[in-house]
Amino acid sequence: MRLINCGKIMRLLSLPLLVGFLGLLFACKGGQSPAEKVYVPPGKLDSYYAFLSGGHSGQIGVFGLPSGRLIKMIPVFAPDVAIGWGIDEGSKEIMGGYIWGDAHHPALSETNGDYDGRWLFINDTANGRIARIDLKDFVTKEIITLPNVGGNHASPFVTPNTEYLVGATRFSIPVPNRDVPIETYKENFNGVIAFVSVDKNTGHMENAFQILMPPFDYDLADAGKRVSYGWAFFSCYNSEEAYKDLEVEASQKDRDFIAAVNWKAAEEAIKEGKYKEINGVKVIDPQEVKGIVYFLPTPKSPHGSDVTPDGKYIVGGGKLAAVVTVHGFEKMQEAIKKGDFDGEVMGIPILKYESVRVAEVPVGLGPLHTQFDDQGYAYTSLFVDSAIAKWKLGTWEVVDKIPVYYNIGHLAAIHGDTVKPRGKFVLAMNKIAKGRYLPVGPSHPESAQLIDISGKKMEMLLDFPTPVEPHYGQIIDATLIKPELVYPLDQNKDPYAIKSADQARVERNGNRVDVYMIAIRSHFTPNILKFEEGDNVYFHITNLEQDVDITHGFGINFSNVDMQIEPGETKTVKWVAEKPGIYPFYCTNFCSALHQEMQGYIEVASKGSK
Amino acid sequence: MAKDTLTIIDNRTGKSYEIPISLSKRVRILILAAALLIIPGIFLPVWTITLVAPQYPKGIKMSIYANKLTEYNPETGMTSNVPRLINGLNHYIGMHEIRPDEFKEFRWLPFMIIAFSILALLSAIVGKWHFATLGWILFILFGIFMIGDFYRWLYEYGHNLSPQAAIKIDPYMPPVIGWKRLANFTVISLPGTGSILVGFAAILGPIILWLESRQKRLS
Ligand SMILES: [Cu+2]
Repeated sequence: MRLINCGKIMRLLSLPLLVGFLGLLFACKGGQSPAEKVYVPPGKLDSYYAFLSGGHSGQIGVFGLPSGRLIKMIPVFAPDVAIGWGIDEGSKEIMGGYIWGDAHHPALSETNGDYDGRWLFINDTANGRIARIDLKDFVTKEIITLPNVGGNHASPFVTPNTEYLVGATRFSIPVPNRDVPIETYKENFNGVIAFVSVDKNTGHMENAFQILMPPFDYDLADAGKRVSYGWAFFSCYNSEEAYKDLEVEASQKDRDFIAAVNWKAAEEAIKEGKYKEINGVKVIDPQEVKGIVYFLPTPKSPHGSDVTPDGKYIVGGGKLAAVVTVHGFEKMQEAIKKGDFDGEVMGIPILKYESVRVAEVPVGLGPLHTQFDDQGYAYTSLFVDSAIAKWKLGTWEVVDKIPVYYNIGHLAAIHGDTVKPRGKFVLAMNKIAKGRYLPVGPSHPESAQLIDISGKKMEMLLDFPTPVEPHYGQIIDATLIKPELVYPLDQNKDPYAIKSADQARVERNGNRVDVYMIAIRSHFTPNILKFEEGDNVYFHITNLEQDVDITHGFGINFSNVDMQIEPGETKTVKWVAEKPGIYPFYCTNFCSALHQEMQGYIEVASKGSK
Repeated sequence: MAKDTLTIIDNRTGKSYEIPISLSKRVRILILAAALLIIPGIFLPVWTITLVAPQYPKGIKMSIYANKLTEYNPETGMTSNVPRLINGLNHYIGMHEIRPDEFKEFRWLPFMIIAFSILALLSAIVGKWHFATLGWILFILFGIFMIGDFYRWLYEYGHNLSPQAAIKIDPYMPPVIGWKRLANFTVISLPGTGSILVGFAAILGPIILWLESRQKRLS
């Protein structure tokens, strides 16, 4: 009798106990402090990679989230003397003679509208270029110049299957560029919207085609996705076509534009031969070819042009307004069909504002850029308000706002510009850091802030400084990137590679000397070298290591030569034997217990002495 | 005329048993099994040596096969036929480089394995105790010889240290089986799957004897 009762009581109690226990677990999790949410214990890895552009440093910062730890700076448009970027022959060739670039908008390659972890692209606003970084080794592999594009700002913003990267003019110039009076800006200057194709297998980039545009300033872009696949949307300001005091003159009109480009239609036009070639690129003139570009009026000097994950809406952040403008893709299609136009510029129809606009969301002052989560919310950065507004797609209500420190430019959510945002966090990239870190003099770092967006209210978790100057970021699930940890030596196809010490040698051809050298713990072979004054010496160094993180350096005293050679890699660096004397060289990257012994000597004899 | 039975003496009881000199069907099947167990030794690792250190928490694993050796680095997932990492580390203490082409064993060991498998197969076919026992004894002697050979190599590597080494250590004997510390490394030496299977084959000898004598006792 007692036993039966006991069982009954247990059964009656079990459900509430279980519920209570689960509730407790949930409460504990929900009650995590900000510190617990960003804490990554020693030996553990972050869950996300954040790629933040380095602006005019010409580099890209790779951070781990949620910890905010800086893992690596990838040199792209600017030299990095530690690695030898811009010093060794290979990287010098990639850099194409420039030593700076303004790296603005990192863009991860996509497959079916979501990041695939293969490549990272970034534009150079200064010298009109796009670079491709291979995420197999986080090294810049290629930089392409976009002819005719003055100040490539609205770039690279990939299409959903990385068919194209885009580029667009920020500073209009004559196309082709020539000497004309600046005062003839309206007649002689043009903007250009450019499409760069990407090879599916190799990632190789080529200038596919361009569209000639009025001399506005094209700012940011996003490719259409899902229903709006085949289109791309570019924000532009300065529809006043000012060239002098833009601060005033370019801020007169209440509305500027988002240019909607039907790139599928442009492809057709190119196939039909409806283009002219300018500087080797096929250029479509919208005055001659209709149906490629339309203008969506957008208040006021819009910065961000962001397509929602479902592809149905285009969100314009009017940086001098207090609202974001939401355009409907379907409405736009109907308006085009009906010919609901309000004039045209340079043959490009301007759609009626009322016919395309779905909502104006009163987010606050200075809306710049919008990202999305997995719950149907949008997050807009507010530069002037120094805040982030959270608002709901569909109802267009602002539901929450959080201050950030200070003056946020862009923000990035996890997969936040793809068809499949992951939610969880949003990262604020703030322009002004004053007082947030230990003072280091008048030049302050930039400041990033990590915000939890999993709850109803946004929660500030973490500040961390970033090197100059993130203009845009991409955050990707870390499991999607699987880099190689060493270069397999047996796959090293460098023409100057040698695979063992007995192949090491010096070859002379006139005053060109090729040194085939190996580096392995803890010596170089050969390590005693004799040249003559005036010799052009090419050091081809192969790091024979196949062990993780055993990088060797090669630095020559009294010179500008230094570089790193990764395990299994071959690099070539040129050094001129300018003056007779003795030049020590050594391993500059700490490699082993005998690293300090890893050295050699160069002897340069005066001309004709030997 | 030869006897057609074999006398087995139980040491504990002192009793002796007569068993037929021809092998029973069960025994022949077991010998056949031994022949098959030896064969994978051609392509499975014979012995493995793993080096673990603070900076190599996952270890570097060298697998010795009948005809080659491989070095596997779990960090990179890379396998190489020359123990590049281990040689690289060993050069600090002046250990002679491990060069696969210096092991003559790699040339004949696979054939020895095949030979012993054929020998076992023949024992099963011939089905005579004398033949089978002789085969088993040869097999065991060969095993002892191989372990001795392995010991000799390890001794060579541990004692033939270059006097020019950057780091001077006392000559040391790496473990044939088990583990031992050397500086920051722990060296773990264990039989590979190939040897384990060969070991099973070898153990079948006493098992057969035990089974047969038990059968005799029962009957
Ligand atoms: Cu080194």
